[in-house]
Amino acid sequence: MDIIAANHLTKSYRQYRRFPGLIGSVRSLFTRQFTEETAVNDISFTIGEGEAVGYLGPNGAGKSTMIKMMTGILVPTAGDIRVLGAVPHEARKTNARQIGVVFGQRSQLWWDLPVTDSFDLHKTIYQIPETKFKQNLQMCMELLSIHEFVEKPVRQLSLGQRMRVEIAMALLHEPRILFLDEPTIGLDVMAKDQIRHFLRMVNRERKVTILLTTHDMKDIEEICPRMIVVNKGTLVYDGSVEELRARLGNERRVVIDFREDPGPLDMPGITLLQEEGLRKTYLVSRSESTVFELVSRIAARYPVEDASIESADIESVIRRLYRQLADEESIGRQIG
Amino acid sequence: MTFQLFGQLVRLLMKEKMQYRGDFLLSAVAQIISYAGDYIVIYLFIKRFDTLAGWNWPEIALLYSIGLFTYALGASFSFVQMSQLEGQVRQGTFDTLLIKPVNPYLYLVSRGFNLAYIAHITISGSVLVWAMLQLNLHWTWIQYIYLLIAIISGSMIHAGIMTMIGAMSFIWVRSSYLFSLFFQLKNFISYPLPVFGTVVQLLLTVVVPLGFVNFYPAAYLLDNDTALMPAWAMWLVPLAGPIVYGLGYRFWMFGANKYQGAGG
Ligand SMILES: Nc1ncnc2c1ncn2[C@@H]1O[C@H](COP(=O)(O)OP(=O)(O)OP(=O)(O)O)[C@@H](O)[C@H]1O
Ligand SMILES: [Mg+2]
Repeated sequence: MDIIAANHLTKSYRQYRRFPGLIGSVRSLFTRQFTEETAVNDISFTIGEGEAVGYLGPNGAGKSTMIKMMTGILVPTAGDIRVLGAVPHEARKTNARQIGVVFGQRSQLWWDLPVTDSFDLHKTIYQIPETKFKQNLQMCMELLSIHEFVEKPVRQLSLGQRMRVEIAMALLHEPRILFLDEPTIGLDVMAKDQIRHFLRMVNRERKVTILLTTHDMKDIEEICPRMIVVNKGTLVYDGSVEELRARLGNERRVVIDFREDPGPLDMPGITLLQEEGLRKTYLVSRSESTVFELVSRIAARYPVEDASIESADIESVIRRLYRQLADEESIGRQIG
Repeated sequence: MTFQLFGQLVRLLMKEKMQYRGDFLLSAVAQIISYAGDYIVIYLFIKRFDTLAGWNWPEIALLYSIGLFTYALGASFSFVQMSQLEGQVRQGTFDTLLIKPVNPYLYLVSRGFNLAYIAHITISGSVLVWAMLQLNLHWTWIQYIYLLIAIISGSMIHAGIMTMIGAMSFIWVRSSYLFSLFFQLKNFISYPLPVFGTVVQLLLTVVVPLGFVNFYPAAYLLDNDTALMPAWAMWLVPLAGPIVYGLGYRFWMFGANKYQGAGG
């Protein structure tokens, strides 16, 4: 069953022109001049119960806007969106009980009070039965190691600790869908890992549907089998990571340790990505057998100590996709 | 929004405030001193003329106290909440209110319930009682009930107007000017309205109905002249509050649907 369905969904922001001062305020009320910006442009997709979907796109692509429409914060300009069968902004109260929302950049906790107070308040707001609350809290506190700082005021927590608390809180009422807008932003590797494992478990074992936005491709790799990529408001890809990799062709990274600096290599089809002393990383856009051939040709002509071929990680696949989108756009501009 | 939730919010708010209880007490004392100053200014002013538009000092003390008392009640549920809304809308932190399974308006006003108005309530309540004793009133229970209803209705007028101003944040994103305008107008109701002439009285009766907060009910209770309005207008007092507050609430909810958030 589809738990989320977006159908030709569009959101434009209207920015009203403001004039300074008291008279200006009155004037802006009556003139109402505005500029319009389309943040989400005619997007359609469906998400089934139990899926974990990564929502990707460069800065300003309209990811947060999409999450805000799905959670009922914003009212769409055109098209329609259904979450759990209802229109989110019309069914805010009923939907809110069944969804959990985490904003990486906005806290929902009480800054000056211990973490437990925010949890208790959440219990009252969501009217969670005592036993269910205790059970879920126990589980989250254990898996996210929250015990150590649960009595500390929120303002004293580190960003990583706070984010773990935010995620735990979003799950206390057993939502069917969990929305996360950049949950790993600004966290260290350990904190990211813990959150990823936890979210993966929540999705696989507790069958909570997850939709998250991120700029960290490892989040997608670990949590989301499916990804949706948007750019400038329009949907550009919806499918699995593997498919995308296949579609963009096989791109390989080759790391070569030289015995001495060979200078720029005179070889077609390779680009230098990175240089750390005698270790250089190249990007090679060929199929696997020819990459191997290419490396042996380099070894024949230059003083190579060691070489390794890495398969393209998701990060470079995405980078490639973004670059391709930018190219298409500049071509479009030249023609149009 | 349930009473249980409201109770818990108040408990947390008190806990939060008590971490800075020095600040809290100090500002409460400062408020009381500043309003005591206001009373003294009015007293000195009246003393020179004996009466003002036919109102003597204890009567004006009663008038002013109802105005302040109702302001404090209304403002504890609306002033900080509504004046900070502009910032919350601009920064997009209002987002988090819309994802809770509670009415966002009721949650916002309860979450921001401001205990600091205890200072205003203490001083205006005391002066109100003092004035009533001074005036040697021979009221029946009807007048006492009427006073109670007028206080509730007056608080709703204050809260309703501030709610409307707050709702402008969603549409116009600059409510601070309107708040200062509101406080300018509110200054008028410290005195009997006829003092300021017909235009001001009409303005505060029809456009921004602050006259119903204290002037009309007090004039009725003290049997003073209301100038422009007929005697039956007294019965508009209990209606004015619910109407203004209801309109404010509607307008606010309408505004919330226009909320655009902030980038992020
Ligand atoms: N409240 C707003 N008013 C006007 N324009 C907005 C508003 N919020 C977002 N935008 C614009 O809409 C577009 C999409 O913004 P959005 O925040 O959805 O992007 P995003 O994909 O989440 O970006 P990021 O990765 O940087 O978080 C941007 O061009 C942004 O400037
Ligand atoms: Mg964003």
